[in-house]
Amino acid sequence: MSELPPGIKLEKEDDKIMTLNVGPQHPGSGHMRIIVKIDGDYIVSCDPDPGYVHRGEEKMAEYRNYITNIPHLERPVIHDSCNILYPYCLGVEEILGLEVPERAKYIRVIASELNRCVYTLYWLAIYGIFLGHSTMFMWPTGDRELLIDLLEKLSGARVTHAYFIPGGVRNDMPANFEDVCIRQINYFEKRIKQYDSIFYSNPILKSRTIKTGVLAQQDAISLGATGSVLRASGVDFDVRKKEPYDVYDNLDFQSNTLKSGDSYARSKIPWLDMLESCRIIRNALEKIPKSGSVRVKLKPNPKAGNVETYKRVESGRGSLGMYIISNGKPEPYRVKISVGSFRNLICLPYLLKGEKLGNMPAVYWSLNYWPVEADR
Amino acid sequence: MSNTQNKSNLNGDVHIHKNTDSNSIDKKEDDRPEFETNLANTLLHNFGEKIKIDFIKKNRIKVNVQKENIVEIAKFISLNMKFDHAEAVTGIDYPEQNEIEVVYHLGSYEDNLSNQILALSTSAIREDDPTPGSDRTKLPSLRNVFYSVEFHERECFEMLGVYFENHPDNRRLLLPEDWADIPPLRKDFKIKGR
Amino acid sequence: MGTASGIIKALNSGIKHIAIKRFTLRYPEEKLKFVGDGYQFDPVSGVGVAGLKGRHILFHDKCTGCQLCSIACEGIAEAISMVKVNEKWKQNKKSIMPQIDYGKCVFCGLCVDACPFYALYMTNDYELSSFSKEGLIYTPAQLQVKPNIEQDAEIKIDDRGATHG
Ligand code: SF4
Ligand code: SF4
Repeated sequence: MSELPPGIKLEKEDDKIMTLNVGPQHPGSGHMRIIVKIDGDYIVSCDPDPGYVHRGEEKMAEYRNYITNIPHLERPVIHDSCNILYPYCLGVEEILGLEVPERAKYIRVIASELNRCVYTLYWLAIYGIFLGHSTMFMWPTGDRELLIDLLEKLSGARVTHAYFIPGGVRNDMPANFEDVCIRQINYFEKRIKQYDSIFYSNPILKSRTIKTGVLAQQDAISLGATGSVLRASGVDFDVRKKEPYDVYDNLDFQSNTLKSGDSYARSKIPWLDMLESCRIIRNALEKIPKSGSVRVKLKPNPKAGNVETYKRVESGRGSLGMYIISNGKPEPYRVKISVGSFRNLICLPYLLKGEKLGNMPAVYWSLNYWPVEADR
Repeated sequence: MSNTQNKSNLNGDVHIHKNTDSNSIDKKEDDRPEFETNLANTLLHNFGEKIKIDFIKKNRIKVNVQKENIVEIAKFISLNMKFDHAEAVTGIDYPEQNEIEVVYHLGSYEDNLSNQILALSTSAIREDDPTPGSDRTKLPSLRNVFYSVEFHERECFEMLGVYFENHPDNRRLLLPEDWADIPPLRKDFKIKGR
Repeated sequence: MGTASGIIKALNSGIKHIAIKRFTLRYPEEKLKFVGDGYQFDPVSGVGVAGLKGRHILFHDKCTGCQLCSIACEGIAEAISMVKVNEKWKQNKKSIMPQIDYGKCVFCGLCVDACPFYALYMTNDYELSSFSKEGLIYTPAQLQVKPNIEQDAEIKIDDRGATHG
């Protein structure tokens, strides 16, 4: 383990240092307060203060049974709701001993990859507007519509899908969904390839993000970073590759890593992942069994034995784990949601120290942080 | 190692996977994955009586330790077994056993270990009327072993009232500053109307 | 890549957009077309039928007043309450039927999954706004009405981009 700077500490308390509250209602922070201490233009220390949208999802889950937990457990990140339900469903399937039909596994992969893109585009749009790049706000918001349309055809809702259920998915794909999906995904891929010329090779973006907020590989590991933050620092860790769930081991894709660990790399990894998602979806649509059941029948009030399980998946923000403890009642005894946003938040004080205040949005939002998810 | 045995005696339905009768790994169970068993044996070999294997499943190991030994064992896990970060720190309230279990889910970014999760659990005495920091609901912090647990432990502190000794920054994280009720994830905190 | 060529590349990519068709959906005039008639559920096979999760539709001739939909919603949004109706159906001895409060409903469709008698489905109707909270409470009589909607816009993709045609 490498030596890290000793946490969040003021160098010297004198009148040169000013405390600045960013948030919690500031567009530059989301629903979160960041208390920064600045010396002139340079950040001396930073203390993230999340919790403004804490809703007690873990407590609520103890009062509801395994099925009625579904609509509210997806609330922490409604743009990525399939991926946050994924570990929950995998966990409940394990403790109830359910065998998911093959076709349902492929549909789940397709839905969760679509959802990852929907989330990433939303995140990218905000990253664009944080950096004053209005085009990058408009384009992803528009292109997102293509995928939301697909998800709506599939699940019947535009954002809060409530589509995954222990034992499969709620409904089968509608007729000729495959053709529509391939057509829109191909067009979507063509669209997001243009982001490179307007955003990622834009000299203004480059000069604002390259070499700002550099997270070294050793630090990323010992701070327990995950997802795009980790892979931008050169650690090749993707749950889809390392611990494949459902049918990810049958699909052909790669995980993207970059070496530099700065804000630029962190903002580029999700974009590369989106291109990879298009490949996964096409591949899954080829390999999906043409017919078959998509859901095992479940009793209305299923009871599990006395077991516990920890399942994780790769969400849009990194590894997302659910720790479910059951004690033989219809309700889980304890549900712990371990989310990528919360785990990546600890990097913020380390990254912002010594950075210019103007770079704060570029560094902060490149952490792929979703305040609502971190607060749960 | 009376804690776990108490738990399974008083409330046998909490962990059926708990291996209460013997500390050594039962060879009769064939479905035990080999790699995970070897990992667990490394721990057993070095600490013997101090640790108790709760279960060994595919890619998942859970061990239970006393709170006096947790820092030592965590150091060993981090330095010799290459588990380098914590995925989650979960506090679980067991009012009948009068204890709060804290589970560290440790993961690794090493190539051969990256699909493994080692759950390291320990438990603290549960005080009925917690004034955090001044009662006996205390555990040693693992912040100096795993940097990544810093925020997780802060969350566990406010949600269950477990004070982590030697944590550099044991403040509230998610709850509002004016929260004056008992820690909300304890079982005796009831949601209105349910 | 040099700064100048980077800027030229970005401008070029933007200029190309002048020739691309507008993707905006002009909402009240145009409405998106959905698959099917809304989310439905087949309790025999235990699998749903894809469709939009919009306002519910209640078939009075099938509802037995078994309250299973209301029990399912209890853990979710508590949107369903059972009310008395002035109708005589032989399958519904108690004459109670669900009444849904759309101020609370989250459109998850789990009540549809819970109904064993094909009595509760969802429809493509999503325009439910009202000036008062009472206006959002739909009685069994209101839920019976089949929505009359014209939705025909679809995403079309050609060489000059995607449009809502
Ligand atoms: S759709 Fe969901 S929230 Fe709405 S009434 Fe049905 S179960 Fe309740
Ligand atoms: S709608 Fe269905 S579930 Fe609800 S009371 Fe009528 S028959 Fe029962």
